[in-house]
Amino acid sequence: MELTRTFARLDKSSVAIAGGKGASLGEMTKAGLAVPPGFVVLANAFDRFIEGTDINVEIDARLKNANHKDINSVDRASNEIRAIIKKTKMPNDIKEEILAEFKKLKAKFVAVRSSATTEDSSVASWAGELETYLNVTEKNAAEAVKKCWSSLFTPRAIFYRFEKKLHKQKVSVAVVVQKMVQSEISGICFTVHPVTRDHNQMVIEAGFGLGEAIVGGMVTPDTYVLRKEDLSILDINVSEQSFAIVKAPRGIIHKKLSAKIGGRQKLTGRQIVELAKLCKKIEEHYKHPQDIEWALEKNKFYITQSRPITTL
Amino acid sequence: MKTIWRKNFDIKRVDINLSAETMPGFGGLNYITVGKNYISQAIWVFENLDNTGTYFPVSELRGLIESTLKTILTDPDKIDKIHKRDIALNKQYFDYAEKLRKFKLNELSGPKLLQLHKRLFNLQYQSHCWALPTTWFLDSDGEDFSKYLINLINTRKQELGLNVETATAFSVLTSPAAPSFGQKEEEDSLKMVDWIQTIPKLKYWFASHTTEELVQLFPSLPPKWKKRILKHHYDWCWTPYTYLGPAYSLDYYLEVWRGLIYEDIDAKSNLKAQKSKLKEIQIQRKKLIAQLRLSKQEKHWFDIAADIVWLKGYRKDCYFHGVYVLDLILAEIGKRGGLSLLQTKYLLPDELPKVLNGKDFSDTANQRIKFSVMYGKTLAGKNLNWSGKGLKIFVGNKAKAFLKKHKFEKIVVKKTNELMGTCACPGLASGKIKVINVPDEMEKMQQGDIMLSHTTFPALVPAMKKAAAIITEDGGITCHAAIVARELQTPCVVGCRNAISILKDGDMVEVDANKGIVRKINK
Repeated sequence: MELTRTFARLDKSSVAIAGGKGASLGEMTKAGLAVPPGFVVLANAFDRFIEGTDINVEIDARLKNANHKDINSVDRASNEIRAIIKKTKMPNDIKEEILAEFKKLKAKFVAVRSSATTEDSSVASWAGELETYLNVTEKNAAEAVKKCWSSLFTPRAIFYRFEKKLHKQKVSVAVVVQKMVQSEISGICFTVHPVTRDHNQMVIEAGFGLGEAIVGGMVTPDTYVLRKEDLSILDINVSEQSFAIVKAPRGIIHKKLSAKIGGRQKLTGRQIVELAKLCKKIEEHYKHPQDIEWALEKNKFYITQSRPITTL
Repeated sequence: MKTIWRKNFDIKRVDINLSAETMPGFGGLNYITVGKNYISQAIWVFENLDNTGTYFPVSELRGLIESTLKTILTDPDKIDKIHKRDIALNKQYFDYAEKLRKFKLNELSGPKLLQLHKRLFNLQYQSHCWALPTTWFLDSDGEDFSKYLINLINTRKQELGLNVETATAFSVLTSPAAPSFGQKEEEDSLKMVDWIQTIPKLKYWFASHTTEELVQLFPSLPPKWKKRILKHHYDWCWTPYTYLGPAYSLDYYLEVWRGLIYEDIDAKSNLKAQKSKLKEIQIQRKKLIAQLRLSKQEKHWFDIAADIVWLKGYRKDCYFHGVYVLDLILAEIGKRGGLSLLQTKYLLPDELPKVLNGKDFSDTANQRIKFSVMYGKTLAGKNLNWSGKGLKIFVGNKAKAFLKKHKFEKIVVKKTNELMGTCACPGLASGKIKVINVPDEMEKMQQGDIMLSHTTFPALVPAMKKAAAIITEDGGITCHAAIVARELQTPCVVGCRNAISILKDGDMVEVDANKGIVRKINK
């Protein structure tokens, strides 16, 4: 049974096995975009885990007891299911394969993210609710994968499952393991102006450090507006960033930034244009406006995620 | 003794590039009018895209103004010559800018772009500054010239026992005979409406769609009609540009014409009325000159005042047109250097070649936009070409320290129910105050409101047209607000200091423009 697949062997048709995030990273890798290398622990592996260890029966029973109108019952089910997953050992063959793929990445650190395998795009947004682990080492990779699996059973995820009437369906989860980009600067790009919905403009947001601070709305990023046609910069709005999320010897920390440093323009004009060019290419590839996460490490831009903008 | 600095003006939404342009003119080109470099230095303060103050040493500013007034009174022929030359320079500037609009800037080499920029910037500098003593300084510090002329009218009235209203007489006597750019634009727009009205299909097209639909359907209009509409847009889109833009979009014109077509206005008679209004005023003017028994020389002074009113408008319109075109070049330079247009506009012309050579100016520009102080020493003698020599820019703490080192006149704001300004157009009105400083605020303006602005500029004209009276904090009797108010025959009080800090949106006021009084009344 196939348990993992590298990005290069996935594409947009792989949502059922690799989840939305995994499929998208595969598609972008195939399109020749600068995606940090990685692999997906396929949904199969999760299924094998719960079926092979027979905990699926226990999980189903607890889910049945939960009533989404009673938040306490959801909390209880969540706690119990996650405890079960925690104490259940990952089957050796899965663990060995994850570690073997990890070695091939030649990376000291990886980011581990869950990737929900649902075709329903409105539910796909719950993937954002699932967890992300940064700066994971080889030693704790398997543990992080397990944590991602159990994120399918956070109270919020269970609640969504009922809301969207998915609780009777089989729901699975894939896990994306990707070489960690230690970004000095990172951010988001909307290839259509998200506020004015002007299709002739794109908006880039940028901040110092890892992308989590911006994606999570913890800091106010710089905003750059470009005209898509000729990539001229229409507007630059620099904001003062008070802290950045950066890698520490263990995990990540919030690093304070002085007003002088935090108030600098995060990307130079030339970098803004280079990034915009890249994002325009992604939009052209998908033939649909994209919401893109990017990172800059050692002067090279990486695309860490790209999703269609569904609210236009 | 320590130099005392006086605030001469401030400008909302402006940039360093344009401000730097005037520097050598304060000295070198003022020389042409008054034969001496009165102003040796200047300080500008910039904060978040506003020029919050431009300061000159008090004694130097007064020296220049008094000397300019003396020159008008003793040697009016010299002033005529300077004004004539300034008109020619402005025409040259306008025509050159117009020529540049046809260039495909994105295909030009860096050095070629810089060359075009330099030429346009120099023409801008010369046409803007050639007659600066009369077209700006003269009435910028308490309306010296206007007061002198008003005094003359009052004295003559008494001597002859005449029963004419001073404010009206002054307004008529200083009204130019030639139409302003704004009037020409309005005339052209009315001609467009007249043309649309003669084509039933096109008239129906305008009347039967929303503006949004018009914008969408525009590309499918027959080429002949499209061409004419696009031409009007091309010819006039720059009129509201001011210092930072934007220009009118095609949507704006489609909306204006749609409104006029919908109301089914009589474009032909409107056009006639406009022309006869100008003629009417000139007839009145002749009458007044005879009534007041103005001597040939006195009439000459009033002619100069009318010329200044017209030239101020013409010069500014050429300037906004020029800035619109200059910004096309700056945007292209910015594009190549990874800067937004605004960032490019906060650089000095001498820094532009470095932008093209790859130097990153983004942080420099951002800091200047946030808070900066520019200091300049004028160069001695006539300076016919612009030079950035003697200009310094400070940012952050260095800028604060610089301001601390200098002594500025203090401005005291007294809370009062009655404010005094100067009459720019006579009349009485009362209504609700609406504070309007930028085009975005025009929405709140209702027909019959009293418009209060720090200063007005072409983009605010739609709101001015709705106003029962116009009040400005800044500007003299020959400023933009005054010129437009007279065209519209709307009561107008200018130079109403501190009005914005005392009056708020919704306050009921009485405006007695004849006396220059704005009174807050209880609802």
